[in-house]
Amino acid sequence: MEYTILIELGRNTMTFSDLNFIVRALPLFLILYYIFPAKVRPWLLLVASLAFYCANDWKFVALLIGATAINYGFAKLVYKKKKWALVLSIIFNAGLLTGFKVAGRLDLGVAFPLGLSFYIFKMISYQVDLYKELIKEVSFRNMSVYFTMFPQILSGPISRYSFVETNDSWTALPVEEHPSKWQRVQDVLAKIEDGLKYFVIGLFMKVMIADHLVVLWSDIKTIGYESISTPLAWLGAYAYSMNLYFDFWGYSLMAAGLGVMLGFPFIENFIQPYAARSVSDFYRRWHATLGSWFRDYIYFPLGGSKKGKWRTVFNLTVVWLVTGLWHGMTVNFLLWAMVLLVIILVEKFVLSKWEKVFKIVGRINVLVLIPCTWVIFAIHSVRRLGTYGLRLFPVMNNGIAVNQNDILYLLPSYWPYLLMGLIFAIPFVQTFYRKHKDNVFITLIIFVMFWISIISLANSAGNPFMYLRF
Amino acid sequence: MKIKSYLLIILIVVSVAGISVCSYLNIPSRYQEYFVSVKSEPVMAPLLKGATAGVYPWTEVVEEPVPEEQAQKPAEPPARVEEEPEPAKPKTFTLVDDSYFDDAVFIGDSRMVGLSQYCPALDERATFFAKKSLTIYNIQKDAWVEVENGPKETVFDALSKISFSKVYIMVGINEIGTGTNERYHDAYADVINRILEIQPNALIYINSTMHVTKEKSDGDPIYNNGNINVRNAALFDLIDWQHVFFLNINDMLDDEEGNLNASLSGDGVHLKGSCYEPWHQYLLYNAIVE
Repeated sequence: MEYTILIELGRNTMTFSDLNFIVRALPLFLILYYIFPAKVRPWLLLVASLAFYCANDWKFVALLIGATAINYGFAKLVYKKKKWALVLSIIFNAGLLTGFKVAGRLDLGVAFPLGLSFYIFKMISYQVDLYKELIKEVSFRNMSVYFTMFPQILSGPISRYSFVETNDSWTALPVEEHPSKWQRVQDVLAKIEDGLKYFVIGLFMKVMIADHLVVLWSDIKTIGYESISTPLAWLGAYAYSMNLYFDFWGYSLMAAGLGVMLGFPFIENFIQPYAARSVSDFYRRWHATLGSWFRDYIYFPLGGSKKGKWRTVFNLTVVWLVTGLWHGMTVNFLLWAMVLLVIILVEKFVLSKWEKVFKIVGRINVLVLIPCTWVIFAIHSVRRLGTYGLRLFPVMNNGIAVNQNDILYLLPSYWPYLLMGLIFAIPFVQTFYRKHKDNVFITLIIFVMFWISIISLANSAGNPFMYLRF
Repeated sequence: MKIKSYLLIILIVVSVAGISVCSYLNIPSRYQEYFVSVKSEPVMAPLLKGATAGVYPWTEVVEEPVPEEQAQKPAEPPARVEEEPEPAKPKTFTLVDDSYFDDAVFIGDSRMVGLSQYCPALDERATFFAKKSLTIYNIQKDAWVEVENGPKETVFDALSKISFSKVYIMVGINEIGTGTNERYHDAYADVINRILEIQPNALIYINSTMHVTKEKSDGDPIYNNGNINVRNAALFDLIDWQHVFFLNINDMLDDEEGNLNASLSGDGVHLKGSCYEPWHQYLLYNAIVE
């Protein structure tokens, strides 16, 4: 499951929420990065990215390097408008991803390479954009940095190639515009400050909200789904939804912040999804870079919604089938994707005819049905999923030894994290931050958030289950 | 450009440097037990861990008491054994009904919390002093029992305010990675002695630390059944068959390989809500009636 890979990784590797990364590797790299001249920086980023990959999954670094080299070979041909090379490159990349996914499903003893799902999608995007002439030249340096860059290698965001082309710290300014040394230092510091703020907010979301709420979800698993009360089943659905949201949004903010520190533009992966007006709208805002990838490289090439009603249904079915399989090759992911497909089709072809009804039902879909779909996402066994489903909707009694007060035992420990999650999910909070992010008071709040997160990390060693005492 | 444009960098760099220096200077004294290695974690980590546990850079360093004296004192077997002129006949277990637990107290960690939440027959009758993450050392030293409208109190203060004649204890899993077997044994002996001081006629049932499942045990260097068995065995000499008894509840909950039966647990460590009945039954079948 892609979204929880960081939790698994956190145990003995170096992720963004690792103290050694935050206070050792990152500052050291930033100093080196900005000491060297602009033209050397991409190469430094490439070396650092490979080192970062090795620190997390050294066994598969050769695969990353090999896939990059092969894609460079394809790129040379695709640039010359050889369509067969484009088709071959897509088959190669998609085949590699599918091969590892299937091998994992069949328990062939092959581990899944770190970040493969993400860098393969970048490789496909690169070849297609090159063929469409959206990319004007083949640069080994930029291409390899694009595929391997450490801020995005673990779990996205799936940026487009233009992201690396717009790095403003890689180009030396013309002599006549050459600012003074002090001016340049100030520019760099401002960039780092800006990125650091995003990084700290993301770190706080991951460490203080997601990593605590995942323990609540784990407590429910401990009790056993057959023994939870219906209120606790609903609390679990919302707690897991928040855990997923803040784990991944937090990670995405850290990744985007790192990018900003290195001179890249800010990349937005979560655009207030729970403020969406419908499930379709939700998935334009949730993991937006993945959604737009599916739109641009699968949905639109199939004809999108311009070839009639039934063709649209077919295209959406293909997109959601692939989305389900991309997330995992177990039945629950397919079920998750198909449930979402049905909701989206009903919204698109039925509800949209009654604007006023849609306004209300669309919101209910986002705020009530989406948390239910995350339960399908979380529970891999269909039988256990059925048990949980009946606890959520107790149309028949499947409870065994249910303690009707169970929610009261758990709420006292977790309400602060649930409350923080609710606050951060309010769109106004983000709007307010964007408006006042340079305010000294806001900076001080972020500074406090930094230390709360760091103290929590020091005590948990990056492993959220360290909070799970017996 | 104003300083506020990079205020966060300044604050973070200065505070991290300051805390690192302070931590480094205090590692040999205050933070030795929180220090792992410079290679595995930043220098500031010991201070952050210590401060979370209430040890601040300005906390006075307390000299360690002489270990021999401390080790011997609580290690003495329960005092009443010496008072008996001749060995009394061992008491034997018998079957009772739930009314037996009307004057029973249960003390323990999250597994005992689970028993209180998912075994209404016991919860309705007995008193539970149970808390997630509880260890024998917490029982011995800390004020952790919640009291309505008042500060938390020690379990001994709480026991002295109620009437009881049976005490069931289960801890051991949380402290398995810390301290030695001797220290664990001595702390347990101390707790038993202090309970018997409050209620000399009480029956004390040490519940064996419950095993974990095979999957958990095989994959965990600390929380595994080998370590649990060693800790359980360390308590055998506290049993006197007069006031202190040992209930090996693992007899009821294990699979044929001696691991917690996987079908009874959702996380490998705790019983599922629907699986506390075997434990309850074991207690009913293994009771002492005076």
